[in-house]
Amino acid sequence: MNARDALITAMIPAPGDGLPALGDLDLRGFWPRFQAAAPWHLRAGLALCTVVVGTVLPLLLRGRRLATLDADGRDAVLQRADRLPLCRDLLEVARLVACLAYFDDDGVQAAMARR
Amino acid sequence: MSALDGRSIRTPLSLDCDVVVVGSGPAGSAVARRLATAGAAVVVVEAGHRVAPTQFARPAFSAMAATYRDLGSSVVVGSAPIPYVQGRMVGGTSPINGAICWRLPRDVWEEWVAADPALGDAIPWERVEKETDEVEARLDVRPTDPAIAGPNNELMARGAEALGLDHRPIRRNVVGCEGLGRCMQGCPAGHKRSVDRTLLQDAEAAGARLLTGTTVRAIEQAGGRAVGIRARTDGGAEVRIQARHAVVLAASAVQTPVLLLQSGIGSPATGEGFAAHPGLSLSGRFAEPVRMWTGATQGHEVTGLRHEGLKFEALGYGHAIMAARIPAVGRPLAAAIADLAHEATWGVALRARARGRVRSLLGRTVVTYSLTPWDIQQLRRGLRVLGEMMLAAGAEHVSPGVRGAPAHTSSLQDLVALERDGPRRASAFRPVMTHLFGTCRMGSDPLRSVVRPDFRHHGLPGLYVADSSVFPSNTGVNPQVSIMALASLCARSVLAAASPAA
Ligand SMILES: Cc1cc2nc3c(=O)[nH]c(=O)nc-3n(C[C@H](O)[C@H](O)[C@H](O)COP(=O)(O)OP(=O)(O)OC[C@H]3O[C@@H](n4cnc5c(N)ncnc54)[C@H](O)[C@@H]3O)c2cc1C
Ligand code: SF4
Repeated sequence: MNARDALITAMIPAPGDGLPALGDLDLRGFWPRFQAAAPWHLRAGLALCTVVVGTVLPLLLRGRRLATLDADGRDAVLQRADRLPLCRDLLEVARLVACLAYFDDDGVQAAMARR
Repeated sequence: MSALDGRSIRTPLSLDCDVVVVGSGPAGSAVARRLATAGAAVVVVEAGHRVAPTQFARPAFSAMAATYRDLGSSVVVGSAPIPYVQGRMVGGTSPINGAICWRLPRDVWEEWVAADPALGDAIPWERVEKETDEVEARLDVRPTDPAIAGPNNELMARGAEALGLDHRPIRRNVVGCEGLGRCMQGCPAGHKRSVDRTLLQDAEAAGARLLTGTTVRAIEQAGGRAVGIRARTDGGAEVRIQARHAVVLAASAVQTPVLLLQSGIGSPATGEGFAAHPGLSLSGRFAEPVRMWTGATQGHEVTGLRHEGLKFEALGYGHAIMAARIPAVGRPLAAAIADLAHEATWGVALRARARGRVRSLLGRTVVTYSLTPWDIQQLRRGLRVLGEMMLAAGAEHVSPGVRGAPAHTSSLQDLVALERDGPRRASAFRPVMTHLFGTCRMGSDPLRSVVRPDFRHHGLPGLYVADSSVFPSNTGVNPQVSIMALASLCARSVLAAASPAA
């Protein structure tokens, strides 16, 4: 898994209650559409977040990149990042992208409609 | 009806007309309708595309990619990166807005006239009212039907009642609304009477030509007047449109000044005075499901503190935007998503005192804007009132979404403390702006305004501005109807200049 996908899927682990984790979804269709539709500053914000929260911070905290950590480790890094000023701002971008990708899925839409 | 789709135009195109209108939002559609029905040959140029109701997608990403400028993620540069959101399609922002309709408040008009008495002669109150009546009739504006309001709106009514604040069902431009809660992604059932389905349709029926997927890049001048525009289609072709009588800019309060600046038609006031209604939301958890995505998207409002610059509305977003506004990541975010059905979200919009500016730098649009200390204080006050209303409506707890304040609370003391002692820095808040004004103000002084009180550009004959750029200030209320009313007056000004005898 690449650093970007590791970051985005860690944003929404399985909510439970019949909803899948973002990592369970097939995002191959989403990314090309995101690249085409997103303005440069959104793409740049996501790229920066991937570097800072997906690589630099986990290396500093755990000596490994986010993609190589287990689910507990990834979540611990995200919770820590969410308390750090710059990281917190970058995570806003990652959250937006994660939520757009998650609710773009037909299965998730159907599950939400039943709630 | 005659529409051209710029995606399929690949060779140079030349058109002529009496009036070319840039932008097909509320302003452009209102101008085009008035001019075309008066017999003028009108061409409306629109950067976005036509999207039929059946094409409005349920997932927010697909819907926003097709209809929002920059996926709704344009941000101002200033003390905090506040997003400003705009539509980009035939109908402008109207097809994807909340359908809330407000007439221009008389007190706002009086403020404008007190500051510049010439406005009282150019846009007399009676004419503003008359145009507003016509717009409201055409858009079928009516109060939200309680039968489809849905829990989110009903709870707001309950909370406002408990606090003794004036409140009412929102007046909306919808017919036969089923409460599908998808207004901000475009009504898939075609119930919203957005301008593409009303005013613009009238203009086209009267002979106006619509050129979509075509971005205007410059205003052309000859003999000391505006004579047309240059544009580029999505298919890559150059377009020239010559206008015998007028060029009318209706590209919005951000893009209109940019177009003037890029065309070298700047004046001291061009792009200055950017004003807005920054809006904050507050959510709360109710024991019973609220299912915010059902019911009238925005069906109830609280008007009791309008004199303080605060207006409260029930909000309605799709799941993705609701979830993206939850201030959490990872497992806490996932848990909140699982609980989304129990969440209600309401918003406060502020008639902010901050003024910013719109510039074009290296071909990119830059909006600078920083909230004033008074604005931040009022936003804190707005959150307190929202929180109190929501707790009074029965919320188990509320989430103000402010950095440095408790994430959840059910204590009135916490809300009072948030208002009195909460963060003073803009970056602690997460506002969004959807109502934009004032970047080509109307007025008599060419140093402080861009167009005259009758919408004519101060420096360049034949050029008019019709959108909310001309508003001397923000209005404190949802602007689409006032924009249409004033744009209709702009069209009357164009007609008067084209046939002085009339
Ligand atoms: C999510 C959202 C919800 C809202 N809800 C409400 C509401 O409920 N009630 C209300 O009163 N107001 C609401 N508003 C605000 C309201 O919709 C706007 O104030 C209004 O649409 C502005 O009208 P306009 O014609 O000035 O600009 P716009 O509606 O922005 O239209 C301008 C058009 O010009 C086009 N354009 C721009 N530049 C060019 C160019 N160079 N060449 C060609 N075309 C160009 C754009 O693509 C766009 O289609 C909302 C706004 C948003 C974003
Ligand atoms: S609330 Fe739903 S049915 Fe009503 S106009 Fe909006 S999207 Fe259409």
